[in-house]
Amino acid sequence: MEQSGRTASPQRFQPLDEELVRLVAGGDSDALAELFRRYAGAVYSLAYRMLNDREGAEELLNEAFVRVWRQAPSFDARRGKFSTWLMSVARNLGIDELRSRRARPQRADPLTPQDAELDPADERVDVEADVWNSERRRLIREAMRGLPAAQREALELAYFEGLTQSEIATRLGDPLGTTKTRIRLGLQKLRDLLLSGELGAEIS
Amino acid sequence: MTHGDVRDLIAPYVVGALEAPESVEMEEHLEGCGFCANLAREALEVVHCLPYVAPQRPLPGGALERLLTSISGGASGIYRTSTIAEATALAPAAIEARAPATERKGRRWQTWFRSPSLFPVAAGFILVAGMAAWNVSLERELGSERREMDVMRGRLGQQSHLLLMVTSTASMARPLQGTALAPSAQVRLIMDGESNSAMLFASHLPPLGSNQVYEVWLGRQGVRVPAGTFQVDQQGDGECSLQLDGSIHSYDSAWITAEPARGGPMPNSPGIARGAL
Repeated sequence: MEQSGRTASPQRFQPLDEELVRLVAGGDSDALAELFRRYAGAVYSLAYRMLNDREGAEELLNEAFVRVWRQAPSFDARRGKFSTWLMSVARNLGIDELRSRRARPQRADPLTPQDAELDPADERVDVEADVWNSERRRLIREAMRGLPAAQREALELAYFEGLTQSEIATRLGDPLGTTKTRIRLGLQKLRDLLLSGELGAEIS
Repeated sequence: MTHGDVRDLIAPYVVGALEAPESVEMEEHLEGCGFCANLAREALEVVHCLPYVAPQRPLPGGALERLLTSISGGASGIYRTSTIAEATALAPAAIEARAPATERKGRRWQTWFRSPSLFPVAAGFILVAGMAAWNVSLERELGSERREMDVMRGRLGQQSHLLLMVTSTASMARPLQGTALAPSAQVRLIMDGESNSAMLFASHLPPLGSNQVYEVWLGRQGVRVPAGTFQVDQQGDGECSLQLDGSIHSYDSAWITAEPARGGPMPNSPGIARGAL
């Protein structure tokens, strides 16, 4: 038996993320490269969605994995999955960058809302070979589409653009109370949709 | 901050939309209130899905090579110093690169033929390059052996741990029942309160797809957390050392689901086996 709990299978053995992080903590760059192969696509997509430009997204992608390299020794698998940690690192970097951009003079409306990204036509950019990742992404995006537009927009402005609820209210021209309610109801409904669908059908 | 206030603010808190003072107040409340902390944890599970709402983008070419350069050279882009491109632009080689290509090529060949020490330099260069390549090859070999040693060490540690668990007087076993998807599954969870650890042993589980694992979930007051993954052999037998967050006695239920190998914060398929703890 292996430490991770995964039983050996000669044809399809793949180390778990947590094993790879442990190796990265020991200075193994091959293990870092493997984690990069697994998650770079998701991190880059998140970065692109937040920063809305390719160069910034590339910088963020690189920095997120440099931080994995540096901070792997402090990663504690008991507190959560590696993928969750990595996405939090990436998002925090994105929010820092967005705040820094807001503090600098900007061209007009650099953060144009990307409503079109939830349109089916956008699936053209779905080139990742991993079928499961694509399927999971599809299910989550489908659940997101199930939200009323105002709730979805409030959640996206908070998560992808790092706006506070006051800033969201100002951006959308709504009362603060309305924005609070939209975020709360949106998250609750998204959870219900995820649990009632193919994601987590039997477990709640 | 009352429980009512907290419940209204949990959603903006977990998506990061609270102002800083409210966030601090919220964190103080959550530290002392298990009920609200559970609500926040549930909401956070949904937030962990939000990165996947972003449309997929094809990775830019050379991204991995750039990362490996960053970690070997210490530079890591705008977040620490300057961009790699900017750093390169300051280097003499990059200034050289601004000259027209044909001009550069001509100058290079002239330099080659004019140099009286051409052959010794070339021989020295080849020797150094060969030594460097050999060194890289040895490093890779060593890295591979080190990984194998780590895996072996892990296995040995787990075997020792298992021995301690089954001989502990504080250990107890709980069966999980196979669902309609795996009616003949036999699953047993061994829990040891003394070392606060648990292992799961399963047999007769259905075979998995090539890119799947079985994942164990533990439930606590309605909140489920992933606790480990495992694969099974041809007989459907497998085992898993569970990762616990808090006391083993704080969990009240357990499930197994078949999940894609990359896993996630939420189960993606119906339960294969489940039971109360």
